[in-house]
Amino acid sequence: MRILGALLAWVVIAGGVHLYLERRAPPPPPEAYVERKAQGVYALEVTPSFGLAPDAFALDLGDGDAKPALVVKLKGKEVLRETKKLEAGKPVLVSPLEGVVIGLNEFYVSANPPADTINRANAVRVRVLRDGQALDGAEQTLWSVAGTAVEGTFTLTVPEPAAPKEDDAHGH
Amino acid sequence: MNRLLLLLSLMLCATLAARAGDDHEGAEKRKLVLVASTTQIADFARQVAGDRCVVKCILAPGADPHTYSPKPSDAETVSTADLCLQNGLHLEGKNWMATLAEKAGKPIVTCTDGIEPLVLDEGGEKVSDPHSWFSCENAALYVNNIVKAVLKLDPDGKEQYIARAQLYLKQLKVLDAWIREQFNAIAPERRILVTSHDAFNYFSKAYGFRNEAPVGWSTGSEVGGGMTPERRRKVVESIKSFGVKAIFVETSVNPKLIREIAREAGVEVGGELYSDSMGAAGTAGETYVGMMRENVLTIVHALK
Repeated sequence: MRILGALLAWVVIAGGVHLYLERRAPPPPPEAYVERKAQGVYALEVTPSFGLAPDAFALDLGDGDAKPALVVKLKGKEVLRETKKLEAGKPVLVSPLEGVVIGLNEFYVSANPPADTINRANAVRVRVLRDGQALDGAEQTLWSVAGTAVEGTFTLTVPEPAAPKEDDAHGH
Repeated sequence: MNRLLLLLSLMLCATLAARAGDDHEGAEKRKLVLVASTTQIADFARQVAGDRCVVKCILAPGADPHTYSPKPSDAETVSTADLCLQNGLHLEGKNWMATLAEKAGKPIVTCTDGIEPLVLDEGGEKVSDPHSWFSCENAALYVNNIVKAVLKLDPDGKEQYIARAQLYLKQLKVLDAWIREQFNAIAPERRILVTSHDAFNYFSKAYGFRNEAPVGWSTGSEVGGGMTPERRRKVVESIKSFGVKAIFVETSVNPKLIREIAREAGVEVGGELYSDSMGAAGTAGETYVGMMRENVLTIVHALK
């Protein structure tokens, strides 16, 4: 009888623990971060100091995507992908540049030199324009170790739009 | 009462332990098994698969893929595979890896697919050189072929496989640039690489060397493989006429022949190069990057 009692108690306890583990409510999701689109028309200008060539070491999944010479991503999303050779000193413009938000915007740049530029450091100048005007602090030159691709990130901070002046609000 | 409590506690512990054990076994079972023929391919596969797959290798470090005869334990290893990986271009003498995979009914991927092979003229016979991993650019193609195959097998791991492959491809690119910089210290006319067998053609083409070897593309008895007196005579003549400073033995080939040639030609043996196989675990050559790095340092030290 005692054994049966023990078994029953075990079933109740083990079953209870099991049910608790299986059915406990998941933790609440973190509060969603809401991005607000920056006002104005943004553009990105990339100027390499060297001729760009497709990267022989790029990932190739056989899906028809040609190997890139120049890639720029904004928050993980490609905004520029050039697969053909590009001339040194010739700017590449992306306009309009989609995806710029109020706050921090991080760009990732990868520019690949041809194989014969061994022992030479390379640079890429990147700047962001708004409504055709260069923005203060939105320009950077990224450098590479000799012979390797230029790879790096730079950050653009878009401030909160200025609150309308009280006079304007009253229509004067 | 005490006994009752003890009994209850034991049963609860047993239940929880069994549950934890089940979870652990489940996680182990979900791991895919990749079986590679050579040490280089196993390393590429590990770089792509990380801990998501179990990577096994048929050849032990230092073993010769040209002359290898599979053992019964190799058939057992292949029977555990979800995917087999081979070099191809007849590196695996008598196609031993493809035969093992076929007998076990396992899919196999040839990592040299898409590579433009160097064609060697061996006494009138045209032979595709299988040692294509010796150019970093070709190594990138091996990696791409492995990624494509693993993605088909395990699409859930796509993000991880791609991220790992991208990191490794960058390492290969840096390695390639570093090799070019290192060899810049050797005058172009001194860039003559004499090794045990004809394994360094892709390496020589990529990095501006002239290649000589007394033994053909294979150490086995395939067409154009093995040592011929004609090849040996030509190698000794080349060493003398080009003023070669040093020649090299290979880790996977008996060094006797190269030592004899060095004596005959009056040059030094510059060191040991990893060729058809990488180094044992714990050595500097246990990875592809390490193998290439050590080879380059050995060559630069001997020929500079």
